[in-house]
This record gives sequence, C-alpha cells and structure tokens, in this order.
Amino acid sequence: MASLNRPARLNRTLLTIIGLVLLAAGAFAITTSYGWLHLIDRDKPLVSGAELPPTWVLYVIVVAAVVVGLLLLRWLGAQALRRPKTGTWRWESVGSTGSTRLGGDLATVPFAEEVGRYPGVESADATLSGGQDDPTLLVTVTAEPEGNLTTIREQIVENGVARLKQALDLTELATVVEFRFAADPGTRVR
Amino acid sequence: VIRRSRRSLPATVVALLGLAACALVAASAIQLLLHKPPVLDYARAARALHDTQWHELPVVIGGAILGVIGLALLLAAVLPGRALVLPLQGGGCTSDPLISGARSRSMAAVLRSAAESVEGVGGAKIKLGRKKVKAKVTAGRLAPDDLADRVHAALEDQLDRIAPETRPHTRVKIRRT
Repeated sequence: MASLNRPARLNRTLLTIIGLVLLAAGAFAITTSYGWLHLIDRDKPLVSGAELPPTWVLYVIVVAAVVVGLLLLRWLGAQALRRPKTGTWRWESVGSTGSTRLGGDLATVPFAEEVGRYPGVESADATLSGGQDDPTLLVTVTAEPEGNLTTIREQIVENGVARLKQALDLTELATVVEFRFAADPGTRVR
Repeated sequence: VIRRSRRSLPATVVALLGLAACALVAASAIQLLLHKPPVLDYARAARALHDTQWHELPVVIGGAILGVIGLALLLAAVLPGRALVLPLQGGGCTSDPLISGARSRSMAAVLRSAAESVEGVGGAKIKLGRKKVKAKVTAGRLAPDDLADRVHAALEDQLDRIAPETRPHTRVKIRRT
C-alpha cells in the first residue's frame, strides 16, 4: 500500500545503515586498541606514511566525494517530498487508436472539493496513489472542532468515494483518511 | 492508521553534516591536485595519524565517540517514537475499506477546548494516550461541586464525535484554588 508517511522509510533505512557503519568503526577502533582484535598490530601507527597519496587516489577521492555529496543532497531534498507518490492512469479506448491519460493527482481535485463542502469539514486534500489495478485514495481532512468524524467518514465513503469510483471506472477503492482539527478560535491562549 | 515520526530531524542533520564533509574533502583533494594549499591541512593530519599508534588513548576516545554517534542514529531509526496519528474506528464496506486516523496533537487540542467550555473551568491540561486521557482541570471561583462529572461528560461527548479505535479511559483531576 502507498505510504502517507513519506520519507519515513527512506530515513529509517539510511539512518540504520549509517548508524551501523559508525558503530562498527568505533567498535573496531576500541577492540584493536585494547588488543582484543588482532587484525592489525596494536603497536603500529594508524597510517603507514605521511606523504601524499598518488595522483589517481586523489582523483578517486574527488569523484567519490562528489557522488556521495549528490546522493546526500538528494536525501535532503526527499525531506520536502511528503505527498504520496502518484502515477499516470491510462485507458485504451475501444476499437480506435486513441487513449486517455490522467494524472493521479488531477483526478482527485473535484473529490477534494466535494469533501471540503461536507458539514463539519473545513478543508480537504486528496491523492490517488498506487497503480491502476491497486489504487489507494489518501485523504487529509481538516475538520471543524465540533465536527463528527464518524458522519464525515460515512459521507466520504457513500458519496465522494462512490462518485470517484464511478468516474474512474473502478470496482474497488481502498481509502485512508487522516483527520486533523482546525485550530479552535474559542481556545484560550496562555 | 497509526502514523509515527518521519525522523526528518536526524535525517536532515546527518545529510547536512555529510554534505559539508564531502564538500571539504572534495575541495581539499582538488587543491592538492592543483598543488595549492588545501582547506584541510593534509600534511598535518597525516603526520598526526602517523604519530599515533593503535594502542594509544586517542584511538579509544575516537572509537567511543564514533560508537556513541552510531548508536544514537541507530536508536533514532529503530525506536518507533511517539504516534503522531492515532487510529480511528474502521468504516466503509468490503469493496471500499476505509481506515482512518486523527492527529493526536489536534485531538488533544479539541479535548482541551471541550473541557474548557464547561462552566466553572479555569483552565485544563490534557494528556492523551492510546488508552488513557488524563485531564488536569483548574477550577474557577464559581465552580459547581460536580465539576469533575461535567468535565468527564464533555470529554466523553467529544470522544464520541472523534470515535477512536480503542476508546481511551477518561480521568479527570480537579484542582481548586
């Protein structure tokens, strides 16, 4: 199923890998230093010489640093991409050469507008994620503080999702809704 | 759905530090290739590393620092963290299943304003968990005797409207001034 929580999985994976590497490096240094690990003689210096490495090593270092730096930049950029992934949907029309394409985030604009007009809802946002055979509708609803979430959910399934299914010619559509409440003007500020 | 932290903060910090390190290393290597004095003093660093032997104390200290940072990152990645979104009751039908959740912070905020809307309440603090809601209420001067019951009822009412998957147990504590 599509994730509402991008980029949590990427962050967890990379942090785990980096954490394990650092932990292993630290453990190696300590165990070698105390002589528990005999891969390196503990009476030897950390590096064998102090002269400059050969030129090709410097080139390799430059290339490696630039590549790793670009990957890190991409990781940094991924922090801003929080919306679920969407794809392009296409329908082949019967007996002709034409086909219809629809961006996954365009299909949900009227749906989100409709949900935003339900009683108790202040605003709504929706994305259609996953492939055409296995779609998931992800909805973020900002409800009014007095809103009844159960009725809002029923409305979403019975009206909004039903209409969207009809429009997109789907038989099944799984929906994930995340609610938040609009800031209550009556709340006292302290 | 239950949604937890994205770990954006540790990820951003690590990525920024790594980016800075990569930039420094690449710049120094290029400067060495061009026979210019590098940003990072290569000769001094190499000499220091060459003069240190594996059994000396700085190696242990450096290893311990690396290990602690690594452990911290590992824990940040592995520990689940607080739930940001708490699950609500399921809905829909078999062909269109609907699962939903609500932000726990805004749930706590509406519960607080529900408690504060009760007459005689001076202020309220809400602690929201999956199984428990604890309300600490400061009673106003004109608070009625059954204030706790009224606040309790208001909170239950608000919980009815939210309909969480596991109904939390409500506890109200009144502090009179």
